[in-house]
Amino acid sequence: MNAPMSLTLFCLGAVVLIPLLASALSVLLGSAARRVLGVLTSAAVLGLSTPILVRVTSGETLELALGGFESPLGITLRADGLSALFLAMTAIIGAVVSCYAAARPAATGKRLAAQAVEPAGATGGDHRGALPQESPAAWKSGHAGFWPLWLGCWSGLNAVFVSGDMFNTYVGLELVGLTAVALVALGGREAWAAALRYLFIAVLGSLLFLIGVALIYSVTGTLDIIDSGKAISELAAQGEADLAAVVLALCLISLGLALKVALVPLHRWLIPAHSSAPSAVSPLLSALVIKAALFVLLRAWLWVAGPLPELQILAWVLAGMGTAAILLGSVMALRQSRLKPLIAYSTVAQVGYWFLLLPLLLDPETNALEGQPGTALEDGAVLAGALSGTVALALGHGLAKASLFLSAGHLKDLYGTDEIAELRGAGRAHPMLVMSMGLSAVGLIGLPLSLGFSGKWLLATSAVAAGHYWILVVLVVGTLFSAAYLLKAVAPLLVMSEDDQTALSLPQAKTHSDPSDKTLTGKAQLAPFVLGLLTVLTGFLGVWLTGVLEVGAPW
Amino acid sequence: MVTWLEQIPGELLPAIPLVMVLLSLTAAVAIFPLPENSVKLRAGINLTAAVAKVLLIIALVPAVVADGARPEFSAPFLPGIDLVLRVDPLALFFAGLSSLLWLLTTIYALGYLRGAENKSRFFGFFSLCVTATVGISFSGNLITFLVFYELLTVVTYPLVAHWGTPASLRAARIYLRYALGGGLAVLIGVVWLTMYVGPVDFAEGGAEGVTELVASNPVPALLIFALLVGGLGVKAALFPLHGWLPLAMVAPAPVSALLHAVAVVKAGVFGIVRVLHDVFGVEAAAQLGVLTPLLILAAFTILYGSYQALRQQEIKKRLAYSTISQVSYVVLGVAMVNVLATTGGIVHLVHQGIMKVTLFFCAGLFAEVIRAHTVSQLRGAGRRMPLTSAAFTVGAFGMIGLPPTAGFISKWQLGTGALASEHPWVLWVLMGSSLLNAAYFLPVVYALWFADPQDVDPETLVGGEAGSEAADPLRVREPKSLLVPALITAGLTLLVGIAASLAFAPLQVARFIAEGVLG
Repeated sequence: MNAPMSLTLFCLGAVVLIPLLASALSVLLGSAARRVLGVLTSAAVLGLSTPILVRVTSGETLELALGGFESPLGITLRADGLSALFLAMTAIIGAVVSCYAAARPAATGKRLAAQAVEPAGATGGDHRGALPQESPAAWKSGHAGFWPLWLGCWSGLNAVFVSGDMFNTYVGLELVGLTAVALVALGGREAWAAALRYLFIAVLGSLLFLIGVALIYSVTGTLDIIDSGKAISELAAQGEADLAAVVLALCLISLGLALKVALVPLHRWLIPAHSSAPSAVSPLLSALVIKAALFVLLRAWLWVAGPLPELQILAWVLAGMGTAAILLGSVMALRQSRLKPLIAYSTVAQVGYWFLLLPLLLDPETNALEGQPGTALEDGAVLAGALSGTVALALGHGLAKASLFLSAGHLKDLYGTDEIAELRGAGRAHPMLVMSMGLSAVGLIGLPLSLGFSGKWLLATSAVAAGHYWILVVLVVGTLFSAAYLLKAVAPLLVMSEDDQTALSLPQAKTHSDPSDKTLTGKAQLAPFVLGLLTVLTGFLGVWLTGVLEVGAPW
Repeated sequence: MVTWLEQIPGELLPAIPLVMVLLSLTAAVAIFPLPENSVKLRAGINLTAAVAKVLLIIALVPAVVADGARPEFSAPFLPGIDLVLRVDPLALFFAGLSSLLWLLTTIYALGYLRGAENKSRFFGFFSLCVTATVGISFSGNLITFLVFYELLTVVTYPLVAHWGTPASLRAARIYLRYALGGGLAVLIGVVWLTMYVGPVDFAEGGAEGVTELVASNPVPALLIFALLVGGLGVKAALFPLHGWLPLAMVAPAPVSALLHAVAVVKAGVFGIVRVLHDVFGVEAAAQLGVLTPLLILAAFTILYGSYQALRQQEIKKRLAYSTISQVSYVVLGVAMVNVLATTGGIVHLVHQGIMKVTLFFCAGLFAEVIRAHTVSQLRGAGRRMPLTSAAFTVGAFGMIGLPPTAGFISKWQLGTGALASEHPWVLWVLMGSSLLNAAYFLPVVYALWFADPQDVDPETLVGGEAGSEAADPLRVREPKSLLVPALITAGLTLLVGIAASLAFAPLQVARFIAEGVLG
């Protein structure tokens, strides 16, 4: 099964370069050829990620020095357990969403197209932003610009995940951020304001991150993640060195990444961006793009900074913001009347979970239960459990949220609206979509079986072992809230009659701009369903995931 | 067939629990994508899976009960924790009940939903529901139990909401609210307990390490016990956590049967028995001082449920409150901690299931055939639907505890157990409850047989192809697939009462389990 080492290392470079090349190439092609290229590229990335995952699972950290220059001179690509897991999740979700986008070009955005003479109001009648009728152009669904942008974004994501130094991480983040902004803008005129706002946030976040990286470089003299981590722990061990610069750097990095990951109270940009993006884009933004920032955050806290006691305050501040995110995001989700904003607020809430582990990192002693008969935990288990729990939550969120956004976007395209009240009873005509939503709800609530449950279990057990009982409270409250808002989103779809006697007349499928869009009822519905199934089936992967994360772990 | 099955080679035994879980799961997966109109194929898959499961259970009985085999399957799930499926006598007891009643309920549901919409969805979730129940019964540790317990919550939601009316969606929402809250309480208890003693493997006399925990840290142990039993008490409908059950009667009749007799309520009370016997162990529980409060809570729930049932005019609501009361007999029995009472409690798991499923089948028949939903509408129904009414009467007598029904056996065991225990006052609770049972069931029986029919709905006369033999113009014929399961369970109510002393009768298996636990 194991591919030879050199081939695996080739894969490591190729997962970044192939989508990038495909992105450049697709600009030259027509829109039909772009779809073919997109699907081929996703198959290629899926194929290239597999040997990396297999090799890392067997316990090796992969390292490739591009052009033969070793660090600190050259560019180092490195894949450890964390990289491999995020790489694999991105490959799977990216491939499924690519297939969806290829099957339903209409889901990739809206474009202004020159138009032959046509009766007024025949197209785009429901868009407030439609140009005046005498204009020769009108909004059409489908935007072939999706493919170069998304493939470029994918390349950036993979670059972040396999990058061995912080400058390349920055470059990857910037690529992801800019392409993501452009992807939002594909949503047509009503998405442009959201995209512009997102652009400011993305650039500001990257800038803060870059300043933080520069500060770390000034202290450690290296950009390599592992080397700088070693340098900082040596400085900390000497005891005399002033680590204020490192603390400041981490503050800036955390702030920049918190902006990108939309941690409360920095979340306001996410709602319009994610909810007005096209159907094929919202899942990518919510499931993958914000994960890049989370990945870098974990790298910075665990691999670069390590458990510095000076970071105590910052860790608690971020965990407090995470708790606030869970509460505020859930309450706001409950107050939404439209499907896509509700799901976007659910992302805001779920982001909060990923910050709860920070206080555990600095205080990883299993002190709470020490000396108990039969206590089963060893030292270090708290750290491992907290990290694997957080990663499991993040990966599970990726699968579930991609499925949920795909289903919601699909319903919106079908009925021309995502007002929950108007979608009542839609489940009768589209059982598979409702089933996908149900499966992803299981994952997001964190019910067994799902990766979300494994994640909450791991996080909760680590929290109890370290005596941080507040995490348990937060998890419980968050779980109840998420059940409430997801039920609010899904239950109306199951309505079959308005009162106890009469049957409900279903909302007519009013396909909004393109009545000839046959792809809505076809196989495209399988995409959210596959992701929903994966949400549940990955519930068995808890042990495996913990094992993979041990590869190249900082402890 | 059975003799062949009795000789299952030993190496195949560990696979059986897994096979049984996968059997219903496969049925569900096969049923979901079926088009609405493939009625026969769907019925075929359902019945094949249900019959296969009953046969597997029968095959397991001799090996597990007589030879003491404990077939076990395990797979890694979370770090340090396995998913464990293990068959012990209690597991087999519960799985046997649910498999048998699933078969009958499936037959009933096939007839009940003829012509209704969304049948593939219904039977898909129906099969998932039974998957969860089998998983619950075979769970070998608390984590596995929790996984299937939560699965049960999720998959019963679409069943309760099946009609899609505002009332059923509201009931389903409230059910979910209760059940998820309870599930979370159990989850917290399990996390906490796991931190102290590692993965909590069920073992007779208490899981490893729990006894030491009770001795060294009684306060956390007490809280953990409260979380577990409180969480499980939601599904078991212990007072004051019973609010969802009477609302859920808006669900289709087969689902009510599933909730009340086969799966949901039973899963809760089964879990309580597991926690008491196989996690804490009765000695540790006695040391914690939780048995008497539990006993008092169960006794109160019994009387409260019966009192509320008395006040209901709607048949299904009356039955729902009766369930709340009757299920607490199980808790009452195990909380008295002697062989007689524990036997009575455990055997009531099965007895209550059989009797209550009969009553719900009949209530569904009355509602479907002559549109009778309240007690007064049942006047004279004995003449119109004699067989259904007879089955209902048997079930009602069982609930009251009249000999020779199954209910009598349970109550006799519980009563003698109460006298032998430190709490002889429980006997008064039992007698009071029996009087209340009589007070709310006998008027129904009276209305069925001795009251004059009035205001016969003319539509129901057409529906039942009335009186071809002109014997009785009011006589209606019930659909066979609804009537036969009801008659079978009514027959079983009598049979397990009369033949309670035979080997492998529920009573004997329950005594075997009780002796195993209490030595």
